[in-house]
Amino acid sequence: MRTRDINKEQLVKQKAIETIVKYGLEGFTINKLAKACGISVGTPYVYYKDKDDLIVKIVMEEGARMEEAMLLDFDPEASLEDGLRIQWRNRFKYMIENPLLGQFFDQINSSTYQDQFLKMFNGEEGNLMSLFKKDITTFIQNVVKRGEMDEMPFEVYWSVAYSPLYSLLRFHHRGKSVGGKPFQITDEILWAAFDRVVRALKN
Amino acid sequence: MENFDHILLFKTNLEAADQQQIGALFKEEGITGWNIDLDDEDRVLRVVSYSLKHSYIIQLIRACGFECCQLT
Repeated sequence: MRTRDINKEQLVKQKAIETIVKYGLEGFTINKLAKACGISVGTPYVYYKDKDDLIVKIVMEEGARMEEAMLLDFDPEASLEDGLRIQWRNRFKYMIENPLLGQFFDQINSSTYQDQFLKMFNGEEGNLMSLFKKDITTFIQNVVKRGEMDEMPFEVYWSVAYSPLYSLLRFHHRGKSVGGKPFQITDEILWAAFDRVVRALKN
Repeated sequence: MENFDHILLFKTNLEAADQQQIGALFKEEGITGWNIDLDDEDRVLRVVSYSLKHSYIIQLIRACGFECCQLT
């Protein structure tokens, strides 16, 4: 009798993420995945219909987990500095605890699956990341209304607010910064960058 | 633990163009849940059925001239 084994299901998911990050989406097949897991070829098909189904399900599950992690303690009514600080803390924690997932989502975003997921990410209630999008939009509207920050295109806000964080994380995951200099992120460096960002955005 | 005996898996040589034929065949048999993983080298045919046996599906597919064996 074939039964659902939660450990095996988790293993399949974890290995799928690892394999996609390492070898890309194009060459990824369930056969290769099963071999990487050391399980029979049929096992992943117990949980997933095919390659597309597996990718969609992993993105939905991990997207929901990421949304939850990013919204932890986040108050859309908070001041610019406090709200942004929580966002930095949550994003930092998530990326440190899930180094592969950032790369996994990068792979998805530069693949043919992107359009499919953009449709899911259209902000309609109940859709992937809809709550996150709503809270972030409300937060920005509030800080602009209170005169804490000027109105600006969302892309400008996002670039100033988060690009420094993601650059530091990229250096950290590589273990090297510009010119190959060894690098490891510390709280001191993280929050020094944060202070600069707040100064750049705040009126 | 949940039972998954109703998911029947086969290694085949089916192609995208064969899906229509298989669909018509399965419809006659009352099979509604099925798909082929065309990305995979084993062209895995996945059938959801609470009543049919592997051997019966193998017979059906082979009768159409395709290769089909149980995926273990």
